[in-house]
Amino acid sequence: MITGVSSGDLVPLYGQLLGFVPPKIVYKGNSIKLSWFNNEFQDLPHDADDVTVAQHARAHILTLIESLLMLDTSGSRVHLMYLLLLSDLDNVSNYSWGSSVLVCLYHAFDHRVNFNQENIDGCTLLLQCWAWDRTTCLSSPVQGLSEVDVANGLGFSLVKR
Amino acid sequence: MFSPQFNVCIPFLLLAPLFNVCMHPFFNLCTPLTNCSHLEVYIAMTYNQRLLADMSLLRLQQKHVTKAIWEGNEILLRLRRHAIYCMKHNDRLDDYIKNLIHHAGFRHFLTLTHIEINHHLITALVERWRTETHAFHLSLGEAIVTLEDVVVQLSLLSMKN
Repeated sequence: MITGVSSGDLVPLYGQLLGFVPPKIVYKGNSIKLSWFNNEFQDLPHDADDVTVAQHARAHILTLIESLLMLDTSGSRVHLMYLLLLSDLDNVSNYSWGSSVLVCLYHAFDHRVNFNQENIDGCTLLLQCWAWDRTTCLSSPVQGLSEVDVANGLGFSLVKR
Repeated sequence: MFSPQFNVCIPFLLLAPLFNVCMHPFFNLCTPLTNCSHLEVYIAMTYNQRLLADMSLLRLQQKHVTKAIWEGNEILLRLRRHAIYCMKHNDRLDDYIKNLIHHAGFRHFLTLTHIEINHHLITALVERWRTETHAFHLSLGEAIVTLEDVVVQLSLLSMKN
């Protein structure tokens, strides 16, 4: 089960889990500007220890979750509500990320049809790939998969379109 | 009684025996009818922009986005798209970080190439979403994005193992 902490002050966690405390100008509440996030975690220092590597991995996973899988309508900001779940990286794969992505998508649909919103959040990538998969006349052509691709687990639809 | 709308129905009724399509009478755009007792329902649907005669289940129709669309306020959805560093510059990521992201279960996102999202496809699909049943009501019946689709399309596990 995945629940994020959306209230309370998460600033003390920044230093521990991400290795930095952001300047006040880039965060509002518990969300940080995505552009700043992307710039900060571009290159790993040469003398990086395990802790720094884990902090970088956390940052990348967090941006993946917030910018691709469970989008909100806040524009280009990364909310840190899921950061606590990433504190132990060995345990991250035990969480049910798939179901929370689906719940976010359903929630986005409900908002759109009931409130006539112009923006839609949620993982629209998943919706498009589902539509392509289920209604083949809509989909763009699929490139052939080599045996190496299949062996590498690239056999799912997203990669080869 | 035999209005022009009725004439529109005739071809579908004649074709009806050829297609034994699922008869779920929600929002059908051109679903043929096999049972003539549905004739009145079908005429009502044609008159009333194809709404059901019995709307007891779809009780949120007043709030549904179709109302705005029928009044001429159709909008193209704006999707949130963000540049994600670790997807865009996958080759520049350190192997240690990649390993940790793999270990956390998000490895497929690092292999994604850039995918254009079709705004029109998403808009059209989401307009057919119904909050009451949490499903898309399409002309061939109802369709839903399931957990299995999440696993297949995004390779995100929803249960351990």
